Amino acid sequence: MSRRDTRLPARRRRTLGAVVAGAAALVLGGCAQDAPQDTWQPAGDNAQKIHDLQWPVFLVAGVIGVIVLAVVAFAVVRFRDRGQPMPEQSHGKPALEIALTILPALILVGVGIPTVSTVFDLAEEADTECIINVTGQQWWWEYDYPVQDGCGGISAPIVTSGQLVIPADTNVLLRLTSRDVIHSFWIPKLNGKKDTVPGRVHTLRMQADEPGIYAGQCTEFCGLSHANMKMEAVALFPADFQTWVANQLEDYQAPAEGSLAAEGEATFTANCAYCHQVNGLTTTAPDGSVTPVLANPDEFVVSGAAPNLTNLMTRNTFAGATWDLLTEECRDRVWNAPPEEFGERYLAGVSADCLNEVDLREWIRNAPAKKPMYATADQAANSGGKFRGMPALGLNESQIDQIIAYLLERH
Amino acid sequence: MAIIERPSTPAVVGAGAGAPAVVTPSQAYGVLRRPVAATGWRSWVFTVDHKKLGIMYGVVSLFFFLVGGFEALLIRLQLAGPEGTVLSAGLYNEMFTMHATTMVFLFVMPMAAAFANYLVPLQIGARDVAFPRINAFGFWCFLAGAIFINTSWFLGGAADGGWFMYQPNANALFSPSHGIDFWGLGLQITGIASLTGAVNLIVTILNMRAPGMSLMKMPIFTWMILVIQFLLLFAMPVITVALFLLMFQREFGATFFDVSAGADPLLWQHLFWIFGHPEVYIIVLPGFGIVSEVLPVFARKPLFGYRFVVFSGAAIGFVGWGVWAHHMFASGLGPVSVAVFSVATMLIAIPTGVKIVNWTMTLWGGKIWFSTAMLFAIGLIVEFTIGGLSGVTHAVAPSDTQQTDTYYIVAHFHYTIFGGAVLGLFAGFYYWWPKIFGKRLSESLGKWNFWLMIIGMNLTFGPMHIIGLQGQPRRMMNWTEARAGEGFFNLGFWNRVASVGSLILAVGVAFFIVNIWVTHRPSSKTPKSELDPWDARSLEWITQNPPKEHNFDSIPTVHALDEFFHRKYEVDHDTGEVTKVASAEEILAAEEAKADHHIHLPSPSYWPIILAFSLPVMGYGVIFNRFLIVAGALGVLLAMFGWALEPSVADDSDYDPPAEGGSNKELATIG
Amino acid sequence: MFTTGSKLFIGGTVLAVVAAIVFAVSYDGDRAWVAGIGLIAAAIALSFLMGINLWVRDSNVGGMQADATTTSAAAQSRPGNSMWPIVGALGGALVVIGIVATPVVFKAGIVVLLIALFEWLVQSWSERASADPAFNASIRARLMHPLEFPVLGAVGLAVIIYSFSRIMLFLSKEAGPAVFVVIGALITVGGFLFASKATLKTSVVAGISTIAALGLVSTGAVMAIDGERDMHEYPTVSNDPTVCSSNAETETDERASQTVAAKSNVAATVIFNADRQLYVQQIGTGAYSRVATLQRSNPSPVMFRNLSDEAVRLKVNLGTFTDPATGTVTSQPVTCTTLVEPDGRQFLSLQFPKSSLATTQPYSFEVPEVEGATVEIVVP
Repeated sequence: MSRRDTRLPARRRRTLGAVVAGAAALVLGGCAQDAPQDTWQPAGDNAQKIHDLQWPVFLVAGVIGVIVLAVVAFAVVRFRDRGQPMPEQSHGKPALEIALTILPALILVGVGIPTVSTVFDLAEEADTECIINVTGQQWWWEYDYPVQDGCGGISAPIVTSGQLVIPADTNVLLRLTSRDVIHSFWIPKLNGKKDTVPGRVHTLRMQADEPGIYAGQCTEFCGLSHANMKMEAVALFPADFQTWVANQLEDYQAPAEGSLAAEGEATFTANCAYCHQVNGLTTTAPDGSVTPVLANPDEFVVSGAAPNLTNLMTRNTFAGATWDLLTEECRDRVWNAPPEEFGERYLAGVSADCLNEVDLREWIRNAPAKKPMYATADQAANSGGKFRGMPALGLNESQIDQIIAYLLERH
Repeated sequence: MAIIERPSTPAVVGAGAGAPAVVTPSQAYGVLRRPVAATGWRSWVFTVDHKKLGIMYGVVSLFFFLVGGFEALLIRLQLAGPEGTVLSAGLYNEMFTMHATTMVFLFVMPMAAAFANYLVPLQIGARDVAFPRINAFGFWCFLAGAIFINTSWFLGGAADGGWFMYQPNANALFSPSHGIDFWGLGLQITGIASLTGAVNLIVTILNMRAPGMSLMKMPIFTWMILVIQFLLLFAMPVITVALFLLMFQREFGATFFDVSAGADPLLWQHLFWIFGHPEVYIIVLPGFGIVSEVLPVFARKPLFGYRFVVFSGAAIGFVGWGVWAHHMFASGLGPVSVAVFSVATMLIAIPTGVKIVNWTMTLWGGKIWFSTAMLFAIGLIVEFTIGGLSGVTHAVAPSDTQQTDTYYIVAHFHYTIFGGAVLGLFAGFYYWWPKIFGKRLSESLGKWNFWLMIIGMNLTFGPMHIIGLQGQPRRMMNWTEARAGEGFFNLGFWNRVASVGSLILAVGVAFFIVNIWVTHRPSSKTPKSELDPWDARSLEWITQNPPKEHNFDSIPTVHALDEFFHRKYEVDHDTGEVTKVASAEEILAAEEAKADHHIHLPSPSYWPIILAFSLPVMGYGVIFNRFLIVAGALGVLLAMFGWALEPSVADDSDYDPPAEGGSNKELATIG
Repeated sequence: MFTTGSKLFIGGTVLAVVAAIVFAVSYDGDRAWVAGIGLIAAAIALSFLMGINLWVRDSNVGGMQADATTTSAAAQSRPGNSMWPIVGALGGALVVIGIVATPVVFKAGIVVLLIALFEWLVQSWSERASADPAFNASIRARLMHPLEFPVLGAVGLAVIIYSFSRIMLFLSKEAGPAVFVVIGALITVGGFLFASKATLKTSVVAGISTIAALGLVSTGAVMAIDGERDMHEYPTVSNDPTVCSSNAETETDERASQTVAAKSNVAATVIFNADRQLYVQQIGTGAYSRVATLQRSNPSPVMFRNLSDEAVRLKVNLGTFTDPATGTVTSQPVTCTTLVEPDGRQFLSLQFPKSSLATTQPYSFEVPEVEGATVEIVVP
């Protein structure tokens, strides 16, 4: 209740600002339709704070720019050589100089004060309602949700990747760190960027007004596949978010005996489970004892981590959010959903009809050919035999069929 | 019997106008027979003449400008369409790393050094710099380092960590090729050039000014060069230390930035940007100095607020040390640091604004002659203003977190560096070309050059504002349709515009090369330039075009700022009326009439080039084979010993005409 | 053909080569190659110098004039004063003393002896170069100054810096900065006075500088002999299970937390509270919790704060793992902080390569010997 009360004035202020901002945007340029990473279309409190601060600065800078350019243009035209006598050899007017020094200083004071207050506003952590750990590595992001009362209550840790799912209209705090090099987490419509530095934990506030998908991109140069390290933040109504959490925590469902997916489970265990964890996956020894299958990516990968695939088909992307799991048609249906229907469409996940099998198949067949990575044997020699990214596993087409069938059931 | 010869006859030099003023040093008094050639390639390779070194700096940096431009074109070609396939991911990373490295370290900085080397002694009425052999050493270090860095292309790949080389991505684990080793060691070698040049020019400017030239009567270009040299003097040691740490981390397994050893990778960022931000001003202030010379000449009135321009330049130099962390607003410094650096960054806008105001006011009330040099200077005011204002928008730290590492920043710093530094350098080319080479460049080709470059740069870098605000990050080897958006601001269209713009820009630059060719080709009909083609104002024009080897027959005495102008014109202080009282030829003739006798210029030497080219040998040794280090070190040792044993100026006796037979001849066979 | 100087170095080269051969044949120790390489290097260096001398004709313009050697130089031997015999004798004495006393003195003696020998050789050579003593002095200077000045300068600086460092190490931590400021100020003031009083006699400046340098060096020598102040140097982190499982006093390091990364941005602050319970605080929640979630496979910065009134340490259990193939059980070593005093803090960097699912005994923080003071660590 109290949350809604506090939000109303903010909304009103925003509408007010939007009129002026819209006008400014028309003048200055920066606002477009459907540009997923547009920095001038805030969709949450934090981005809005930045926007409220920046558009007047752009406006003032633009006006000053126009004035200076106009004066230069006027001087150039008016004082061109038309045979007039040599001008007076004046060395300047100190009073004018001092005035023109103080004027920009005053303008900058006017810019500086709200800047400082916004800096501290955006560093606020006390109003956090939900905490998510974000870990960057070459070239994908891992999101883990620690056990907490906030976020509608999360009773067991959730580990996911590809899409950061957050409850809408909730103050989320990201705890950012990195496993190898420096990356930078950036969802332009929700907040500015923040670097993830190994050995340090940085925080970044996230809040989305409406359900929807917000695109982002790693913005600190992080090596070979920097361009392929994308992210998507997915905001769901709190009720939908509850559903999502419950879904993530559901017990493992083994494929039906004898199905293609069941063969896939064995193929997955034999080829993929070294690195990729699927929670609940077990293996039965000849003597009938059942042991859980635990991934050990620390033994194979430089960063020591690989995406957790437990609920792969609840996400819409794979391989560092570089490719969609959905076909283009299905993807558009989710991305362009109206806010009320968004949750339903997103939670439907990836069905067999909607699966973008082309890219997924190429990826499983030979990942390094699809995304530049240091993942061949001789490249791994430099890093103690560990790969930086998914190597080519040498699977045949029927094995790939099996794995895809198995993965399709990871809802 | 005397073993060594003593001067027997006084050298006959400078006897009146027209006569050869200096007899070239003929024989060495030293370890080796000194190089004596006054013509041919030897006269360039072993020279210590600041003018020849300046020209060589210019030629080499112009070459690297073309190299860096070619790299930029490849980058734009890759990004012209979605999912570009011109370059592989690895090659793309090498390309943008080397584009920045080449443009910053191998073009703008040495090109500024070219202007400084050539013009500072002329502007202050000196016959050479304070340490001529160190000057030569500096140039050869720059060339050796530049070649060294670029050989990495052929020896396993160039550096691929970005010119900022953030840790830990620049570690051997994450960047296994030798590119970064080449980069670090090469910059270490070119850094020697900057550091020795800084010491040299500071000493020259402070100690060797013509009689009467107080600091406040010094030409503004020389003033800006002085500020830059102080910045270099303090900034280069920082990057030197940082590069050593990087080298130890990569080559010898040190852990300065290693998290698991308790260190913090942000330390590298602080080290790099404490160097890197002053570096920005090192790059841009030469351009400021040049336009501050060009604008008054072609507006026919003095620089408005000379003192303000001088002090704002110095202020930029000082405040420039306190803003480095604005490159790190997103790296998690904490709100207090971010707020402090944000405000400090806004402060630096004030002296920068002062400069723009002063340039504009210099135009105001003038009598403007639109020569090509003037066009470039006005272009600088306009383009730099745009770059400066976009800079203010990300001095606002929260706003910067949306813009940093996007193309908006690329747009910003290309408007400041291309618009500020490069346009300034081009203004300088056109303005001083007749001084340096004795011929004017074609004005009509120059106008093509100017307009194509201006249109090209605005088409290339202008759309990057849009691309950046639309959220396209830098350093990405490709962009995708999925995130390009639609409508007027879609990334696809503006990326294509930028790529087309870069081609236009390239054509514009090509016009400059064509202009040089047209002016200087053997069959060229371009006449020799007049003595004072632009009706200039400062001291370097009180000598011939190009200047004689010893610059001035007699050192002029300075009475005023804009000395040359005040010798040509008389200003009535009551009416402000200006009347011409003397022509440039008359002034020069008066100076030549009182020519000095016995001018002894510093003698050429082998050692600077030997010393400089021994350094990359050591560099290859560090990378490939430790025995090469020993070979390089022996070269260094030999050159240092030879240098130390050789007097900086040949003995007076050597100015005699060569002796017939005898010991001199004997000596000649030894070298 | 051969100049005087080059003959000298030819002799030296031959001597070194012969010595190397003799040494190689006669000596049969396992470190023989070290000395052998030294002698070969000496031969190479000497032949290099010989080459230079030949090339530059001893830097002697008239070196090839036959009459120069017959009429003047060798015939008119007029040796000047020389300090090298006595320096050489000093070196010899040091060698003898060193053999009896300590190897350092022996090595110093060898160095002094070699320097004296070399300088002596160059001096004798230069005195025979011509009949003009001034010229002879000048060629000696031209050859030797590029060597002597840098070496002497470096040695002088090293002595002063070393002396100064001994003084700083002798002084207590409190007195150190004060002395540093005073000496620094004195040097600055002195330099300023010298610079502003241009008429000051060189001898006065040299005298004052010499007295100051001597004072510094002698004080440094005294303090070096007296030894450094007591400095606590203990490892900040222990992996010894017996140390980690008790709060017995082994050592204390009040500066243990001052690693670079510790200053900000920790993943978790582990607090031993006044109620003798262990809690964890993580960014984003002000609340004290009994469960910490730390990311896997990356260095997690953790701060331990002791808010109780007893000295305790924090112990971290890094798990027990079973190899599914072999069934062998391996326990990761525990790690722990030093004993942290009341109100103290210490920084730890932890890395968990495997998830909590893999360990049979859960990851945890605990304070040894305090019942129930544990915090579970969840690694997803």
